[in-house]
Amino acid sequence: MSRLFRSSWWFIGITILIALILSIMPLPLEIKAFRPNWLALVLIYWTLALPHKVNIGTAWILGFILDILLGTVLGVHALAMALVIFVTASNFQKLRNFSIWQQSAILFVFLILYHFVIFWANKFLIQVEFSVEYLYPALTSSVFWLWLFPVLRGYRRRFRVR
Amino acid sequence: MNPIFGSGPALSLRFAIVFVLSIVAMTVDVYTDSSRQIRSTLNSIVAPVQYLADLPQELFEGAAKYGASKQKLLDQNEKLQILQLEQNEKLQRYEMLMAENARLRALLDTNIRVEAKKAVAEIMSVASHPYSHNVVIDKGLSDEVYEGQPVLDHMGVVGQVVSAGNNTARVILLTDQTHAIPVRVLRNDIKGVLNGTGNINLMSLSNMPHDTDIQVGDLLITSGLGGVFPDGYPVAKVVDVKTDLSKPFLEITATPAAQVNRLKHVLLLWTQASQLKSIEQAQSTTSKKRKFKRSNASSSRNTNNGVTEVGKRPNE
Repeated sequence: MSRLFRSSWWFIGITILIALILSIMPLPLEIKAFRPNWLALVLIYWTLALPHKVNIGTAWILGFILDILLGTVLGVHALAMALVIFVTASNFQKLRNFSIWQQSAILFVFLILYHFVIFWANKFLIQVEFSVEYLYPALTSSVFWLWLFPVLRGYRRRFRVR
Repeated sequence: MNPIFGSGPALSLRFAIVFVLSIVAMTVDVYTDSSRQIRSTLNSIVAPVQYLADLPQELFEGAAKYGASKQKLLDQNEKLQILQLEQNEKLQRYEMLMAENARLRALLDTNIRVEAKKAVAEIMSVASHPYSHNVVIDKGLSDEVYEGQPVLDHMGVVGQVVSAGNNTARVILLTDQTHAIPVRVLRNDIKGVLNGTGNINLMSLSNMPHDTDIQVGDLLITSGLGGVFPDGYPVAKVVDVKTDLSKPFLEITATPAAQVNRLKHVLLLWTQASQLKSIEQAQSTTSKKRKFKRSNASSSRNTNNGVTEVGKRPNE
C-alpha cells in the first residue's frame, strides 16, 4: 500500500493534471492568445528529468486528451506533442547540460515546431488560415520555462520522484 | 534503477507508431461519421477535468455574489423591475401581432409558426484554441441536447451544438472558421451565407454580387434555410461594405449580434422538426410512420413558403 502511494506516477500525474486544467481554464480575451503551452512544458520537463518514465507514448496519450478537451480534430495535438517529445527525448542528455537560458531558447524553437505541426494538420484537414498570433504561446512558454524549470526541479527533489 | 539508456523500443520506432496512430485518428475523425459516438463517450470521460477547470471561476463568482451589498441588490432590483415593465408592454403588442400574423397566415394557407421549447444552459469553459471557437455547456444528452441544436443568447444566435456528452455538450460559435450560417437581410430579404473568420468579432458575407443592395448597419437574421436555425433570429450587423471592382464579389464584414466574447448563459432551442423527431422515437412503430410523413410534409411546405415570400416582398 505504501509502495503504491509512493509511486512516482502520483507526483508526475498531479503536475500533468494541473497543466491540463491550466490549458483549458477560461482566460480574459486580451491575454488568451498568450496562454503558455503548459502541458508541453511539463511533459518536456519530465522527459528531461525521467526519460525512462515519461516519453513519446505518454506524450501522445496526453496530447490526445488535450484534443478532446479543446474540441480540436482528434490526433492533432497528440501528433504535435509526440513530435516535440521525440525531439526532446533524443537529445535529452545534451539539453540537460545546457544553462536554463539556452534551454529556454531551444524550447522556443521546439514550440514553434509544435505550433506549425498543429497549423499544418489543421490547414490540411479543415482549411484554416495562418496568422502570427498562433505563435505567441511559444514566446510566453519559453519565458515561463525560466520559472517552471526551477519549480519542478525543486518539486522533484523535495518528493524524490524518480 | 535509473538507466541512462531507456528500455523498450527505440525512440524512432515509438515515434513511427504514434505517427501512424495520429494519422488514423485524424482520418477517422474528419472523414467518417463513426467518430461522433466515440467523441461523445470521450467527452463524458474528460468532463471531470472540465468541471475542475471551471471551479476557480465558479467559486470566485459565488463569493462575489455573496459579498454583494444590500444597496446594490436593491438598485439592481429596481432596474430590473423597470426593464420588466418596458418589456411587458412590448410583449402585449407582440401577442396582438402574433394573433394577427397567425390569422393572416391562415388566410394565405401557410404554416403557422410554433413556439419552440427552450432551456437555459451555463457556459463551463471556453476553449482557447484560435483554430476552433467553441465553448462547453453544462447540459448534455441527459437533457435531450442533440447535435445541430441551435444555441442563442439574449441578443442573437451564438452557434450550434457539435457534440454532446452525457452531461456536457460542445457548442461551435458562429465566428469559428469552419462555421457558416444562412442569413437574410432584414430590410430587403436578400439571402446569403455568413461565414466565421476565426476573429471573435468579425464574420464575412461571401459571394454577394457588386450590385447587391446592402448597407452598413443592415441587420442580418436567420433565413431558416438549411434547417438548423429557425427563421427570424438576429445574427449579425453589417459593419463594412467594400466595393473593389477588381474582385468578383463585394467584401462584406459583419459583427455578431450575440455577445460571443463574454457569454455566461445561453439558450438552447428545440426546433419544431426535431421535436417531432423525438416524439417519433418515443412512439411505437405504426404511429412512427405517420408522424414522419407529417414532418416531411410540413418541411416541404416551409420551403415553398420561403420562395413565395421572396417573390412577394418587392411588390409591397
